Amino acid sequence: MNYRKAARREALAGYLLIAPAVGLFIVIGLFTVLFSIVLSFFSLPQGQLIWNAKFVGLDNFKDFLSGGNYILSGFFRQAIVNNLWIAFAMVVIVIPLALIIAVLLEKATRGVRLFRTIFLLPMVTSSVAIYYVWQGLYDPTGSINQLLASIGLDSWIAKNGWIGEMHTALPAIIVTIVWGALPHSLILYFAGLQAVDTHLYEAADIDGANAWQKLVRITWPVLKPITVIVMIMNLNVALQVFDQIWVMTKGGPAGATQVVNVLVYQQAFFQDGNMGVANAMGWTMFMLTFILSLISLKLFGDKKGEESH
Amino acid sequence: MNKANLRIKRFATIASLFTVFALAACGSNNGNNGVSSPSNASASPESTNEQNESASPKSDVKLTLSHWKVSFDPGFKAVAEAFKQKTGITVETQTTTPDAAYSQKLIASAAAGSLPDIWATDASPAYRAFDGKAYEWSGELSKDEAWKNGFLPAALSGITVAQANIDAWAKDEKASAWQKATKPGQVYGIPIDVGAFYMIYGNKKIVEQAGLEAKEPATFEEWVSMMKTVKEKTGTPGFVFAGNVGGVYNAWFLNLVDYMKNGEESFTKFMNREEKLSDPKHMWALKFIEDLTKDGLLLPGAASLDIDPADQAFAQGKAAFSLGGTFTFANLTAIGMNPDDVFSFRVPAFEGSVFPDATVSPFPLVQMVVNNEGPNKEAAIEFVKFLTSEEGQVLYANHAYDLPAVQIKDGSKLNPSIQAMASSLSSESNWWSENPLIWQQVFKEDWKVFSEGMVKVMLGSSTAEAAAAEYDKAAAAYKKANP
Repeated sequence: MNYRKAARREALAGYLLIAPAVGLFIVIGLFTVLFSIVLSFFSLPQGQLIWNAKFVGLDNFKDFLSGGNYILSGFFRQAIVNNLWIAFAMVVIVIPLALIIAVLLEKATRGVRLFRTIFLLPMVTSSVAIYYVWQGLYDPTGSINQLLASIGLDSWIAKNGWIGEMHTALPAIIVTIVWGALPHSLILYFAGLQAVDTHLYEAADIDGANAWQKLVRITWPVLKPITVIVMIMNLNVALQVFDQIWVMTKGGPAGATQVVNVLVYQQAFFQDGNMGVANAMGWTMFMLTFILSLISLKLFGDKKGEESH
Repeated sequence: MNKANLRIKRFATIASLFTVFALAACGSNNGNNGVSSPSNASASPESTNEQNESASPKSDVKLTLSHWKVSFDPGFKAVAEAFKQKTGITVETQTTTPDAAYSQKLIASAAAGSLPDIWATDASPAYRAFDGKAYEWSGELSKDEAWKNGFLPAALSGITVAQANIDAWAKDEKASAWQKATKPGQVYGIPIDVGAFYMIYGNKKIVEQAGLEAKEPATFEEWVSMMKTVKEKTGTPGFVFAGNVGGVYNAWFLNLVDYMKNGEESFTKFMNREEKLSDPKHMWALKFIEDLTKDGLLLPGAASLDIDPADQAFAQGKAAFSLGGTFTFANLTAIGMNPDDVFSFRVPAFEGSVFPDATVSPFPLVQMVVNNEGPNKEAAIEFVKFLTSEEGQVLYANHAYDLPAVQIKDGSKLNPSIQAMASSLSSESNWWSENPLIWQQVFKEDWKVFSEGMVKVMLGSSTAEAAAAEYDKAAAAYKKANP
């Protein structure tokens, strides 16, 4: 009996101790998330107070998904295509590049600390400051155009700036996103490579395995679960990107760099927008990110019974 | 080892505490939030201030005034200083920029019941009145006829709820039930300035360097010819404007030029989407941009510029002409441009226009709204009345480089540049001032498609015809959804 009382008291003490954190999570975390989901089924024109919201069911989703609002659905289509291009670039460029750099860093004997510092610099620098620097580089009178002019490549110069031309704006933005995302993936791969037992490589050398075989049979099985994480992380960055675009181009020129999160922001806070539609768009992007993450898990996740060597 | 660690920890703790207290002590010496630059009115010697403060009445009342216009803050502060001398009431200004952040903050404050005593908004009937949280002024205006009659007619009419507003809100699903229930004659904000768009600013030095006289061109065609001459003789592009901000070209240029060119009837049909942009009468709106682009008269990168960077580019002499409003002058001088290097004129009309001499009545740009539920409502009302008295408006206008909303009997009290701008505007009512609901159609959703098309034309990725066709589709869809 005394034991049960003591156990109950201990449990109560535990609940009381975590109550503030749980309360904060419920109010700031869970409540806002649930509120946002509910609001996505209401129409709340920009500037109106919350009690003026009207229930509209799925109309908000129809507005931008199935042409219910011709203009908005056109903007949304362009934005989501841009997000998917960014996601494609992240997967195809960041992952292999991070892996290659991690392998080279791991094998390097000289200047490892210097190269590591250089590659990890974007992680420790203020992101908004970085975007303004990139904006300066891409300016019509910026360093990139000046460099091209100095080496005689005048025909390559972007007259309106690299983020001011329709055909170069998105690739230029992708370069900055890749540059910013590389360190996070690099750190994970580098840590993964450190975990590989070097004796396995020695044994493989004795067995006559070549570099490719060592990569496929020893290195890759260790890095495969890390690749899942890296892929999900980069997909999330690509589909949730906002700050680079907002600081550097605001979705211009003419929607060339428009992404869904910028459209959500404009819908939520600009004249003629609708908070309900903004929430509906946000949750649509969440579902897309979730589905793509599940696909990544399916493709790269460990299957049951499979052993890694 | 442990003793050594303990000593180090003790030393680190004391050093940290010392640093924290030292920084706190230094920090408390900082004055204002540093957003605004000190104005002339506040530059009086300390000893005089102390004398004045001991002579002026004392009050514990502190009012908060929220706004988003950095360049107007010196004006608000100058008036607040004078108000404090008279009443002892302190008015603290809070600037939140950019507009979207300010808007977000206000809406959140309204929902939370924590609105400031006074807030500034764009001037429009019942705008940001937050369903009755704003004080209604019609009673006060009726009580104080002298104050009411001091306003420019266009200033007050621009913020008074009219039957036309109520009829429009009745059909608008975005309007709240409170808005729909407002009555004609109600006033929820007091205008503090007037202004107009449709101003072209010219750089005197560049224009004269090209061998031209820095004066208003007689026609649109003459203005384009000036730009071509400037480009030919000096290499400087003729024109810059904020291409990345959709509303600038549409609302500060296009609508008035089209009205002058085509007259009331055709312009109204165009705004109501009964005439198409691809109609030869209205096609000029994109052909002009296309021709400027082909002739190299637009500043490279203009398509990516926001309003302030466009003003900066003009102030730095990167283009001969810039598009703005009467309020742009304040921005140019704040950036550091010498007022003597600037000349300005109303956007010119095409040759053969129906109304080439259309005058633009100034309309109210910014209004002050008082919190009806605030603890210091009476003091806030008193401050707004002082701000919009002749004395307050002269102080405000001279420090903010903004046009006052009231009639200034002695114009010499205003800065010469403000005087000159005020004299270029008509105070009489006309079709343009009486029909804002028509020309403000350029702020509607379909015009975002126009703006995108315009940028594509600027960058050479589309033709004027293709962009016009895209806009016509969007306009038709908008008209169908909003009959």
